[in-house]
Amino acid sequence: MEPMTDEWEDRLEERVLAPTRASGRLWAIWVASLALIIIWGFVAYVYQWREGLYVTDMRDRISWGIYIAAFIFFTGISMAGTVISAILRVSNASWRTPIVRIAEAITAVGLVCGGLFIIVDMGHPERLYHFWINGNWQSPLMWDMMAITTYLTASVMYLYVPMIPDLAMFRDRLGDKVSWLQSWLYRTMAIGWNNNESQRKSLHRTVGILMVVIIPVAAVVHTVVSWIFAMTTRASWDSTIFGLFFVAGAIFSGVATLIIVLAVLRRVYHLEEYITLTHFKYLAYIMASMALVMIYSNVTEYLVPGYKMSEHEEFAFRQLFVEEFAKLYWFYVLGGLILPILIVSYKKTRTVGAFVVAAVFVNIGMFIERYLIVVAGMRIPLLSYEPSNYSPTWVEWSVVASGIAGFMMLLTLFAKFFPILAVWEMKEERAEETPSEPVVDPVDEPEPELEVAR
Amino acid sequence: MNSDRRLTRSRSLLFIGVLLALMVATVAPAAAAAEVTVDAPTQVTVGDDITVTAIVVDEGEPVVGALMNLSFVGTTAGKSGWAVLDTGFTDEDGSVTFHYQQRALGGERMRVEYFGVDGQENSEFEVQVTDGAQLFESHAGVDVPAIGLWWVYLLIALVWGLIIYAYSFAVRIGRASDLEGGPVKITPRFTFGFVVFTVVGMFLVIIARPQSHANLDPTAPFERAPGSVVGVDYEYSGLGSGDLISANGELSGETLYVQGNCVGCHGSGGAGAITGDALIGEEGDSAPNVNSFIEDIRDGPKGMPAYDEANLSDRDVEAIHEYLFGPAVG
Repeated sequence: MEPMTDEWEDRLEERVLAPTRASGRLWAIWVASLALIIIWGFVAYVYQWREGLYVTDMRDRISWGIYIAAFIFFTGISMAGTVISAILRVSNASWRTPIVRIAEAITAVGLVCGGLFIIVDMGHPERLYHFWINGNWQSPLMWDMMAITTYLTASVMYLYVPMIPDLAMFRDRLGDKVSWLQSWLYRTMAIGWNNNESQRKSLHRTVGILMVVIIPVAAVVHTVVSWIFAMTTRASWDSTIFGLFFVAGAIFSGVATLIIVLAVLRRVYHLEEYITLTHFKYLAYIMASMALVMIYSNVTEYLVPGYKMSEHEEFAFRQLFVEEFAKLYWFYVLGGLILPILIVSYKKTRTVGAFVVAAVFVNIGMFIERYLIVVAGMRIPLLSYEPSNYSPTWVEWSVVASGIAGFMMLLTLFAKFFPILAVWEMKEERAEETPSEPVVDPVDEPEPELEVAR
Repeated sequence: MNSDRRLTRSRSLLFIGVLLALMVATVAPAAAAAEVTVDAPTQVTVGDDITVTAIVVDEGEPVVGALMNLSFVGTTAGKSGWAVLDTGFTDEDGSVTFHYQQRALGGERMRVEYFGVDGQENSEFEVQVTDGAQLFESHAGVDVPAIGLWWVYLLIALVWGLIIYAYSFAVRIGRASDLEGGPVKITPRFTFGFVVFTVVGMFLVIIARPQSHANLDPTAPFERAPGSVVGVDYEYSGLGSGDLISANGELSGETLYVQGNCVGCHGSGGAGAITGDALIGEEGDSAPNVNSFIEDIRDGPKGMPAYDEANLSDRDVEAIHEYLFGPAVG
């Protein structure tokens, strides 16, 4: 390994500072088009606010639709930060350091986007405050609210606190070269970090507590999200495996999203030296093993009630496997679960590009899976009435599109204005790995562990 | 060799013959059967605790200490069969008493089974169930000692305590700064501001607490699919106090009980459910006073949403009272 030198440090800092300086025309076009989608979605939302939820296709029989699917999807994505950052930090896996910051950013951004969809689904956003006033502890929605608030607080802190030393670096190196607002932002957010012993101690303490807290909280969040379904006596939701299933699904889609975001940022900001193929491989292995857990959970979820096969279950299976939802369902199974496993299994397809393809399929598959849980579950008639159908209206599509654009926008802005690599952690780790005696013969040999990116 | 085989065969035949003779000898005396006399009600109501007695007599003598079953025809997953309700042994008078609770509506085919030395003897009879609603398996809400909401509060307090503890270290980072101009004040200031904002905000929200929850615009309910609930057809205007408009005595108490979503928490017929208490007491309990009943609905005790005049008028509440407790006495 290249020893820890001033030259290495400078290069790393330059790389991380680079996004704040140059932003080309492509960046402007990208941000502008995202902004357009967001504004369009906001217009649709205002329309919905004025006219009521009647402008969606949600009715009394299928009363949850694509909003709730999007909520679960984004909450699931937020698992990325927890898995990569907290679990790997607790287990001291050193390969994590270059990717933790991005993972943590995805967590915070994903939760914000997910949470907004609950408010969108309420129709009138001011209903939110009834949660605090008339909240009923016996309702899983209340647990959900509680868990997500806790998780959001903890994960925003978990994103921010380890970023303090890097923000101080931004403050010191960008201070008078950027606008006063940006400079003020860095100065404020760095809260006077000057890397003294006491500060370092406090920093490690905070991160230490948070990483331990955040893992169970994340597990609780995804379990509780599943409970808003599983606590009702509706066929196909009435399942004990839902909690575990949702946690696994969250890790699955979270890691997939991380792969995509990493690949994009690596390409755009030339981070090839730090984010290598090895990182993608490890993440893809986690993703593939989670696909196996998902398959296992699916089999359990269907086999147990299927063995007893009540009337409602029969209806649920029929619409899922062969009728209304069959196309979507089999796309989810083949594209979202089997394909990623195949891609990761073959040595030839273990490239960044193929992993991104697999991750895109996983995310589409998981969105479909969330949609099927909500809509197909709601469609099963519990009384003897004609099963009704649901197809999202333009308002719903617009709001969901704007949610996805919002997710991308927040990440884009984060990458533009904040340190996307955990510089101090990378330096610290490099210093630990570098022997105190300088390496005598730095021959340019490829590192056996760190493969050169393709 | 051959003679050996022949010998074996004849021995086997002899053995089978003896077995057959024994079987015939055992079955034959069953002709003289014991007599089972059943005393059971012919008409019952759902929810009744029912007693069935049976007397077993064999050749004029009471059968003592015999195993007896009371069974009914049960249906599960499309298959029917005899299912045991109660079991007992006959006393010195040859008599046995069974108990069960009538749970379902409709005719019940039942029988008393006697397992005597001569085999099983059944005595079938029918019970007509005339009235009442279906009783379900059990009441919801098992009261497990020491399990309660306090554990949830404790857990939330623990997690938030840890987060605040972690936060305190972040504050220390700012305080330990050696930079010129002293420690940055933003973190403590922000914390202070956040706490004040939250406390004042909560306070404002609490004092502004509206009478009924989700009561956004009670005059403009959403149009939804027409529904039929308990007998009356009416345009479904949503459940809960949110969209409920007072019918001012035009709807029956039962309809209002469902439409006002009392049923959501207090269960069918006020029998109680997981969330809400049972409204109707044991038989013989006196009904609550109408005025205090109205008062409760206006206040919304124990976390129940309050219903104001616009949601349910006094006349509506009286109708619900009558539906639950019967016509007011006096």
